[in-house]
Amino acid sequence: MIKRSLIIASFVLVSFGASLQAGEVEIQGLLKQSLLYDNKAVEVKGEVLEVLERGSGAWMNILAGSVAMGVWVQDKEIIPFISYLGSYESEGDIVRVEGIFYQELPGHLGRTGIRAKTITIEKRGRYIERSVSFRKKKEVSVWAGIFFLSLAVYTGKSFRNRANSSLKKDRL
Amino acid sequence: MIFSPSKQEYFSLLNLLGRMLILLAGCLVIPAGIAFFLKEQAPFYDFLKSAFISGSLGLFLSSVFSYEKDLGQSLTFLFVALLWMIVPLLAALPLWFSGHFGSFLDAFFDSMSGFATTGLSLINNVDHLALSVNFWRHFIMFLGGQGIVIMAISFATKAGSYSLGLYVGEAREEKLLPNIISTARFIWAVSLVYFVLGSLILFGLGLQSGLPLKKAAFHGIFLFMAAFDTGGFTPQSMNIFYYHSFMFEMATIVFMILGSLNFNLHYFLWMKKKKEIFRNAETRAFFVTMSILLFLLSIGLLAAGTKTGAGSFFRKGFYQVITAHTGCGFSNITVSELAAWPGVALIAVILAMAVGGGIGSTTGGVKLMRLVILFKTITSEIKGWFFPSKVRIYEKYHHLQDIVLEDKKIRLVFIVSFLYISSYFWGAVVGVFYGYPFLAALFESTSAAANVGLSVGITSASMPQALKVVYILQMWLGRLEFIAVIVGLGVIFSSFKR
Repeated sequence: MIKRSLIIASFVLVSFGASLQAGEVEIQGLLKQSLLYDNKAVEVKGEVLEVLERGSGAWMNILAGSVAMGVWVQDKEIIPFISYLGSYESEGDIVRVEGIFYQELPGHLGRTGIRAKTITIEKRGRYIERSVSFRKKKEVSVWAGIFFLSLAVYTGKSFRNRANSSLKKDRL
Repeated sequence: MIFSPSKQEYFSLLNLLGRMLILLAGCLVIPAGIAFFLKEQAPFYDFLKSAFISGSLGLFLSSVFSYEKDLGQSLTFLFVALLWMIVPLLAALPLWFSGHFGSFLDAFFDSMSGFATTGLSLINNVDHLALSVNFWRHFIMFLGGQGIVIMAISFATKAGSYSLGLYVGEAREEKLLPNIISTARFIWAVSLVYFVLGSLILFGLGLQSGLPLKKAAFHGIFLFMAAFDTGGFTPQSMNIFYYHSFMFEMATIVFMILGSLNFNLHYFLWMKKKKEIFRNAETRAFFVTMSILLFLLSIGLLAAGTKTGAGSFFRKGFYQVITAHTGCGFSNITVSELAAWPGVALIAVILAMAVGGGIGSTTGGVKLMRLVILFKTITSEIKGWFFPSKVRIYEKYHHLQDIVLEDKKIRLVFIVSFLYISSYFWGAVVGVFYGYPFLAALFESTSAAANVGLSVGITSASMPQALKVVYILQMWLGRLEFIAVIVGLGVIFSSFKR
């Protein structure tokens, strides 16, 4: 009985808290407890991976940790200038999105996402300088040496085998 | 008594293995070229190093061990089983060098998942992965889906007596053309035509979705390879819902279905015998099982009060069932959303994964043809109860022609189906041993053994190492449909006994 009361009380507290203002939420938590946050005002932070323009609106994919999600922007004019998108070459701009979270965004055939009200840049992204270490180059050279040596042995053996078989044919 | 191969045959096996590794080295040059073209320096060196390692090992084996005698059938099975373990091991090297994996085991997991066209992945931060490495992930899926041996045979100028054994060992049962080399070449030719058309369509849809030109081109190629070979890797962590495009999702459904069709059906379609598609037992079974599973799924979702409109149900429910049934493993919902589905809905997806697509396709699982034969056998037995014991009932099914069920075929179908089902369960038992709920463990285990790739969240870099090994073995066994591995192990055992 006590256990059940505690569970109900904690559920009410969590739901009440969420209905008041969800505040800043991790994307992973948002998606895990999508029922709890459905139709509530939320604030998320993430790296911009892509902006997909659709008429006057746009989808913005943002990544936080290992989880990414879509943010629907009704009026793409509210998207601030994005300098970098997250990719191999660059770290994307970090944005803060305020909006309403929907398990099923109206007008998007069941798509889960946030309808953005405001988007602000938290931190500018940057180009990632990638260099190749001397050790890596040395390792490739060593393996190239082994490969070409093996190739020489293989080719030599193939020639010898071919010569032997043609010799046999001649004798026959 | 098990036939025990001679020393010369083992030498021939190692020689052939060496040649296959040289071929793998050749394949590794392709992403190296892409990395060079895209100025991705570190991956360029990683691919070169991997190609040199693979090539050196291949040349060493081919030089030291000469090809003295054609392989017998049992040894061809051992060869295929070994090949499907060693090639993913070496193909994992560039993935491991990329620094996106926690350990070599994780990279090997992804490599095996790629070759087995599963799609389960342990990669970290895939959104920041180099395009050339992403290409390699998807390319190994294409190679694995088409069949590594098929690729080798199609390059051959003359078929050895062992060629058919290799072909069968790689879980393909039917020849399309009288000659095995022509069959292998036909499979590649058809696949390449689909590849060009499919990649172009997805490229166009990518552009329409708002992707920039370069990304749309690469993603078109990646996703076609993953869809047609029912693999399921995607270049972004958001999977298919990265594109927020209904049309994109519909296009992937078409390619998934094409990939899950028996290659004989493609042959008939290409030969303009379109009626076969409506008469074939597998396509009919596909529509029946799809309808039943969709019904089960809708009951599950409705009973649990899941909030879904008709459009939403079609987009989420239909897509998950079709992606599971074709063994592709793409998803347009998040792992958390899928994990939150009610039990009945998850069971519908598990059943879809367990059955799989057409025999002789790139899909995994028990396969529709076996389901048809199991069903026909049971109904024929039941019919027999109503007739005198002397009456013998012959059951027929249509697959390219009318075929009468034979006891030998039925036995093989029962054995393979039993092995698949037991594999789903023993994988689940290991999952339960590590503390995961039974249904989730069964879901993940079925996904691995049936080479699907859908996940309810168990598959991650932080999962127990032993479970990773179990899933690797399940993917390997599932792709080769058990037979090649069992015969291969039998050959090794008999050699030691001798």
